[in-house]
Amino acid sequence: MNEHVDDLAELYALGSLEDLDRARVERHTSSCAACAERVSEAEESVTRIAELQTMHEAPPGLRTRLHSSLASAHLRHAWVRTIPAAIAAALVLALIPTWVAVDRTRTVAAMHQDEQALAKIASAPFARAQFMSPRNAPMDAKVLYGMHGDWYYVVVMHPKPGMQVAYVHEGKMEMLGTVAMHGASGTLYLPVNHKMEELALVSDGAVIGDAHLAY
Amino acid sequence: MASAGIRPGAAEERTLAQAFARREDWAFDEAYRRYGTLLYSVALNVLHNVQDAEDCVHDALVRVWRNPKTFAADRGSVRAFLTVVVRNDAISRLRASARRGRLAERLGREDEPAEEFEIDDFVQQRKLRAAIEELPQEQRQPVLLAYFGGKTHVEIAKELAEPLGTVKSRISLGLRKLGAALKEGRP
Repeated sequence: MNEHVDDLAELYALGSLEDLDRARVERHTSSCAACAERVSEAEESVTRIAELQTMHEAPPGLRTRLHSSLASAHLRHAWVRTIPAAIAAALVLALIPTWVAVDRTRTVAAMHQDEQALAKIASAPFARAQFMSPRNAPMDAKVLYGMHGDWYYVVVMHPKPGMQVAYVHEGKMEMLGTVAMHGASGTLYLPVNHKMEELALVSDGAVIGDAHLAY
Repeated sequence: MASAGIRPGAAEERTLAQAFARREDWAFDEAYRRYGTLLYSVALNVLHNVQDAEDCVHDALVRVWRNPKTFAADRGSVRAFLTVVVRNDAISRLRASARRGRLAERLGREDEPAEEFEIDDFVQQRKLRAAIEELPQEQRQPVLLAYFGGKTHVEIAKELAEPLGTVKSRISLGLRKLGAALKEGRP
């Protein structure tokens, strides 16, 4: 989305956009301060309405669950740093493509995601599927996924900035997240807890490839 | 019924936003302490199911925290950002479920958005009702369908038999008026 978001700012904040348009607004506002400010004002308006609705105490288990999810990533991060480098390298190289393992430009958050994926790959049965272009040519992109449909790990070579992964279901697309860039490669870990039969790669609002997953 | 959580001052909010953008661990804990009740309530008020609401808040917060590009310190308040992230996630879940046919009955009920208010807190609800009633009918209806009905602007245009551009403009203007009225404490 190159044009400014204009009225879409309020629609975005109200949740009245389809997932694809919502992703476009998010992408545009990440680089346009004026639109980010308008979206921010719309978010404030929606929050003021939300604050006047009935409040419900969050269940105590939610905080624990959040801590557990975030702490586990930290622990795995620490574990990967402390095991002997040779063992770590062998394990990583055996399980995920070399270009992911040796890249040194990853952000901490992306590293946490990659470590989560690595832990899943090492501990549970998984399968992989190839992304194919619209002309049915294999792309430099794959998805590794748990056989129970509880996690998905998309790896892409030379992704375009802002490339997204979508779930294709009954002719509709549900945007799942943006591929994190790591130099020449990109990854996205999705702890989505349902079996997805088709994933698509979306760039600049267009589907550039898809993968069919079997369980 | 719980309170809406602690509302910090502007300086506190800026400090939290900067720390949240830098992914400092304390900022996540502090944001949840301040806004956990609000976020869970937002999800529950959309999904009407405690387990779905808990899953929604959990997944949305974990996703935000693990993606450093989602929030910049100059992006606005953490409170409003997280509220909309959680609410949009909840609406996406509702739509996905509806697509699978499981929540068709619930969406059907939401065809009458003006009747969907919960009047547990009379004073606050009265304030919201009054602010909504100040809107011209042509803006009130699409805003209600969007906020309380969880409908897309395309669905609203179809339901009201109005051009898409007209509906977008009316929703946009209506929300801005509503936000300004609630900010000023009117009426």
